[in-house]
Amino acid sequence: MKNFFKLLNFEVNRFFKLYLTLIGLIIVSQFIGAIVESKVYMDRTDQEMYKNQLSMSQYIERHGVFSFNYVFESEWFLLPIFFSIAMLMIYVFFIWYRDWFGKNTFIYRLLMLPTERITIYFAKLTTIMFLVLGLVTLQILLIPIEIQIVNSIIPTDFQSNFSFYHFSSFEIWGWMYPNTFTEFILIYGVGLIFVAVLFTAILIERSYGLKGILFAIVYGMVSFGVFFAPILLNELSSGYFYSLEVFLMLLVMSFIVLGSAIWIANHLLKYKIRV
Amino acid sequence: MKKYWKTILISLIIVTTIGSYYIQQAMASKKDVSFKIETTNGDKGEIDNLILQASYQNGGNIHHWLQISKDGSTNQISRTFFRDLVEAHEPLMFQKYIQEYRNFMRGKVLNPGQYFEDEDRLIYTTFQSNGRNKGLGNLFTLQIDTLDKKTNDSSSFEINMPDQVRYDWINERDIYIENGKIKILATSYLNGEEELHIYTVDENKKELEHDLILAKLESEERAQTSINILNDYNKVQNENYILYMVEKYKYLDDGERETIPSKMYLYNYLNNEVKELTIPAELKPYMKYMILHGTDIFIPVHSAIGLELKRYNIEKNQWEEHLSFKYPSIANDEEAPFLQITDDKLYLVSRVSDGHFFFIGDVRTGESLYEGKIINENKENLNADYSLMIEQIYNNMN
Repeated sequence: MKNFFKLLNFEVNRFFKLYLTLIGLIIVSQFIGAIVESKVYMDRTDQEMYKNQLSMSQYIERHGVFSFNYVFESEWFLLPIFFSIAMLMIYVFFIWYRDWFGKNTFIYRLLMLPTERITIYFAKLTTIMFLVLGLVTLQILLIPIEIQIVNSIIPTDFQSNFSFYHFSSFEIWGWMYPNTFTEFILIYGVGLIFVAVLFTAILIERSYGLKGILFAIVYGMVSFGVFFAPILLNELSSGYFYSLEVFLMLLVMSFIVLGSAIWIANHLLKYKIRV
Repeated sequence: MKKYWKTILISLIIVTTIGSYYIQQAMASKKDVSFKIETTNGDKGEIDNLILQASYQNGGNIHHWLQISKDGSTNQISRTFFRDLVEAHEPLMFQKYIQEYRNFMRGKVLNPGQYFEDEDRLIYTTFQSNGRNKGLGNLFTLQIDTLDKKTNDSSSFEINMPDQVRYDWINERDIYIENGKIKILATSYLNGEEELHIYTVDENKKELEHDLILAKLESEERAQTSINILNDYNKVQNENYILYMVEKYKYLDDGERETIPSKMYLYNYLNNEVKELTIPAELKPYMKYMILHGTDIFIPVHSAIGLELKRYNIEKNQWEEHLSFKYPSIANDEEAPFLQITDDKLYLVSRVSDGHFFFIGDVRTGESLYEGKIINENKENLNADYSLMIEQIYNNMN
């Protein structure tokens, strides 16, 4: 256990500078977005009111009040999020390959540690989840601040009520911040399985070289197939199963896919891995 | 310890933030909207066994489903994961079927038009297309599943529809069963044409006995015409008549459409006859609100002092004395009043300034049985411009 935490801390430290950069980028870009979008709205409002000689209430009647969607759907807001997702996706591969291709073959030292080698796998897996959840948390913390920024620019009459807890009516937010904690666990659980399968695929490639790439692809496809088998089955039988039954089958399949990913990884790390 | 501060700090922030986010989420959903029925007049017992399946919109486009009964409302918060899994948003009727006949209901489409139920049996019919002949239409097989409600045994048979029955798709609207004959009312579509059919199947011989076309719209007509069936869509028991109208529109310059007086027909399952109904000119504007109930056809006409129910008796072939129910009515453009007639009772829900007026009347005597109000209990959680839509009122579900 102690070794696991040491390794986890080690992995987090390795990414920390880049992580801070990502966080900085998100904060700066989203704050700029909040300011710019509010200003653009106010400019447009002023012009429109001036041009058509409208009073404030007439304008609101025609065009409505300021909607936070202007901010939350702007590039300023969304691009840094997509960029972060892309960075983390790349890091899923980088977290392993750097140990082989870095300045000194670090993997050699890692594998020599007096601990079960699968601990390395778990530490890296936890690191990825940790980084993802960190950004998810950051966004929760940023929203209220961004609302404050918007409300400091937009006059009270044009402000709309934004309840943080209706947030998930936005499409992608529904996935990132589901309504209930259970769904949160389920969605990020699927994410975890996805990363675990990618990790195992990487280890297959690392164990069998060029041939391994083929194996890894086949392994990935099989895992994907097993995971989605219940949904496919239900489609083919034109809805024979009730949603709850499909859900339970999916749950069982998830455990099978995750379990076999870990089992294969363990086996490879112990006996097959090449340095 | 000192070495690990970054990891520990980030972990703490993650756990507390996400934790409190979901705690607040849970609190917010507890403060949900709830409705109750307040009796103002009449017999409280009238609402004892009623369940109103409804949905409300609180600004925005999200429908929140709920059921209202004398004990208040059960909230079925929209988009909640586990609620979706147990089919809680399906019409109450199907929730009950799934509960009671779980195996029989597997893989079945939840369309009331495909079901028939009496004391002994539950019957499901479905047209399955088995080809993709582009332009020529698909060939269909008709599958009929029967459940014996007493023994819980089910049986099933299939009929290949004859070659000339080729459509893009077939939409079933009603099932009528009498003396071993299954009559299926269905709308069929092919290359923009629309037809209303009665397919008669002999249950014992297991063959298609008759195919009757009640109405047909050519493709060029369809933009300005439609066939509307005015029967209670949710009723799965036998109803001897089908009331349908062929409605014609004219598109005005501003894109609005105006309905041109249309023709109203009555089909009789018992003798397979169709006859056209003549509607007095003053009632023509209200034609599409017609309600068929047993051997009566009702036309509701709302006025400032209440509701007038014009009544036509099918068997006597004549218009009879109308019924009038008096209640304070407040005209409202946004929410049309909900009207349902079930088991000789009229149920009416109409928006008023401080909630919804709920009325029950007897359509045999014209008597008012119950008056009440559906009000929202926690006003702070609901915008003033919320809307409440009643989908269906169920009586004696248990």
